[in-house]
Amino acid sequence: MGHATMGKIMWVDLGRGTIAIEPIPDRLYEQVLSGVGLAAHLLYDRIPAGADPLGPDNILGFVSGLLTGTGSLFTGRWMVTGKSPLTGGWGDANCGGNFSPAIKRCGVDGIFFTGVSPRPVYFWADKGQVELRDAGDLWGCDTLETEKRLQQKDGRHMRVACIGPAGENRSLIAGVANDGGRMAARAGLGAVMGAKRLKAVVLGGGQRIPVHDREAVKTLSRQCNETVQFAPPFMNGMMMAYAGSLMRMLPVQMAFDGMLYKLMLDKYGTASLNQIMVEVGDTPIKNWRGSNEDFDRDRSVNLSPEVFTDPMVVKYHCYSCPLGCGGLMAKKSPWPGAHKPEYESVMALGGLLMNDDADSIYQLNDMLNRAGMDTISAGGTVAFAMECYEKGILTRAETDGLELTWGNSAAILALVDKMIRREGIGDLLADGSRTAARKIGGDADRLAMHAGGQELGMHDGRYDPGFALHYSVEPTPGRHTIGSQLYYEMFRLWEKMPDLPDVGLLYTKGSKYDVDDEKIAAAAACSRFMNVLNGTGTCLFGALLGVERLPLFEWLDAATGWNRSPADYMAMGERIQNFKQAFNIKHGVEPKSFQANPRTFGRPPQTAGANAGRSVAIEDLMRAYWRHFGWDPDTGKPGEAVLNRWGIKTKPGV
Amino acid sequence: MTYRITDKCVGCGMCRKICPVACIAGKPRKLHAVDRDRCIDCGACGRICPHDAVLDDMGRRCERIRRRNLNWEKPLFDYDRCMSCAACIDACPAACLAVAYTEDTENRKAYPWLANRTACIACRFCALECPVDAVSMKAVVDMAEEEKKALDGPFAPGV
Repeated sequence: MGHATMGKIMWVDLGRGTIAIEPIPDRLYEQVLSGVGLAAHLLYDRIPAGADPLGPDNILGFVSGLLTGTGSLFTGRWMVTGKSPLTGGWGDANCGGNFSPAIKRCGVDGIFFTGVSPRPVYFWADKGQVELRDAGDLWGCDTLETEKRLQQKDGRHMRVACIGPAGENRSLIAGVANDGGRMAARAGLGAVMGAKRLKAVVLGGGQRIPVHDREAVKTLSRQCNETVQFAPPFMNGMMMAYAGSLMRMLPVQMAFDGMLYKLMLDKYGTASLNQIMVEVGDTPIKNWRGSNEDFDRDRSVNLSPEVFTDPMVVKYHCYSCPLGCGGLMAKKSPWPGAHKPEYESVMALGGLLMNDDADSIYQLNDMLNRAGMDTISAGGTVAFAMECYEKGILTRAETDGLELTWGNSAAILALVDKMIRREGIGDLLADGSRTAARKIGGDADRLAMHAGGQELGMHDGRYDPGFALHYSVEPTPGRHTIGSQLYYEMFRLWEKMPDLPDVGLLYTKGSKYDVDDEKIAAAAACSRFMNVLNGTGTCLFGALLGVERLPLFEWLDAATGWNRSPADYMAMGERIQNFKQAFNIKHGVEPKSFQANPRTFGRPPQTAGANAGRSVAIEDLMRAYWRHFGWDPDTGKPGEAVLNRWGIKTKPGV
Repeated sequence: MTYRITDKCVGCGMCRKICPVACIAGKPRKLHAVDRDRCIDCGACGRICPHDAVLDDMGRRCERIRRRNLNWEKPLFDYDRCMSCAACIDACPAACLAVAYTEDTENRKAYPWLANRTACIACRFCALECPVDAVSMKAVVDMAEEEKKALDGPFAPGV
């Protein structure tokens, strides 16, 4: 057994009810790390081409990170992986909570489910015992109720990942929940779990996680923690909104430092972004058609950071996190013990729908977390329906009498409820905006804001072209958590790898839209680095501190004893990127088809607001990005020579 | 190397009952055995065995420590250092630690504490895995009065 890894994975055949252990050789971890890399390697090999994502051939994997449980900080992320029913290609969804170490404490780095169970079951593992147990009485329960009942039955220490009614109903925008409504929401993998009739994965364990040099890891963690605990008094929400307005008016932009974002996260969590990002032009408004002028400070103040942090009773920390950007609501609030709504959820259900009713957002967030449905995709799909309604593509008869006008919070609540229950118009929308647009036909697809079927995150590609690029070019399209120019500034990778471009302190705003080698090198570095983070189970927000404050590469060396250079670890990230892209090619997904809705990159450009006149040369960026990885710049396909260089066996069609 | 049971074992079953990962098997009054693939070296079997029949991971004979006299170590938490990461709670194989919230309404914190004192097996894993060394172990008999009080957590009853 190597260090920091458990050296094994578990295979559960739900159709036959058999469970098997497979050893993983150390050299595989040295090639693809653990976590998402391990899963991409295995699933590329083992999911047959053309497999139905909701059929027995799809493999649903729950993987932990390489650094999870080693004493490193910010490394409590786990991932659900499989073939995405939403995009038809590689799918992974990342979540915090307390589930990641539980996988390793069961003695494995990942648990992979194949087949389809004939009846609802849940997987249980504790003290060396593993079982598939009947979940007939849990089927239909929401995620919080499921977790509560399983913990009452099997012990409070048990860690639960489960689906809610949305996953059971195979809604293609369903996710997997853990620890009271934290969600691995993207890529629709909750639907895969529902299709397999796997209600929950319940883990106890108690195994120890081997570490090469635990004291060295701890020394690095203590240094990192000192940075994290530095918290001078900081601005309030409205002051940040004015700062955002000022940033919008200035002709130049200052490179953003992760320490500043840490202060914001420390005080408000991601809700700190609620107003400032609207003001600078990063938050998409009114289904990406509006701007900060439509949702000005007088409206966004109703969704200010304070609105979401004041009812909070205590900060919520994921496993191994010293920062704690989450929050739990007071027992006396209408949503006792619920998680604080995150920025993405608030804006997907707020600004995107022109909804400034915070109460409705609290309620929607709670409903969606309980149902196990992605808040971003749900918001994006409702926004699509609203624009269809405005344009007359959906009539009042078709919306079951709902008045889907912008900002009508009562109608939004009713519509989301229908989507969760797949009732009437809700059945049409429960599979996301692309599927709905295809069913409606005609011009509707132009109004669906997705990339390859995945609804986009709440960061505007017209403000930060990096988001437009990563939405369109990644093997997992539509994600706001992989890369952007802003993230690159904060990662500060050039501190460890001097050949990567340093962005400098100030730059003109217009230069963000240039297509040059530095931009492409930065974007590719984000993709590689994010694969390293997802292979090690590290949190994006930790990484935004910058690599000289978050000693990721040093932790890796101390925990594994591999003694590799940062560039070596980034190469592992590139190998993972190739595996994911090859997975998509194997399954017949054209990388080009992931190009996001033209509104994302300003085609046509907006006429008002922070991003007026801005457009992004997305085709040039995509071609250059693919060329950077050695892939065909016209098609985005890696080709045999490149795959062989990374030790990836080619498959028919790849 | 993991823990082993020698033929001094009389089959009383105390180790089997205390093992947090259920890796000791044996019939009553028969020689017990440790499943070496699953043993986590917590040492609870060695501390509890009344017949000194357990060898530790280095092959040394474990000495019994009388639990009833409060000689087993318990974790003490330094809440000035604690960063609420819950690594200790996760490390505990006996699931005896839990989160509780402080009374301070302005800046309420979620801190770990020894919620189930009798379940603690004195394995020290919480102290070992704490990234910032905020957990120390001490036998209850050696604790000062305020340290004993701290075992109740930094929380007033009912919070």
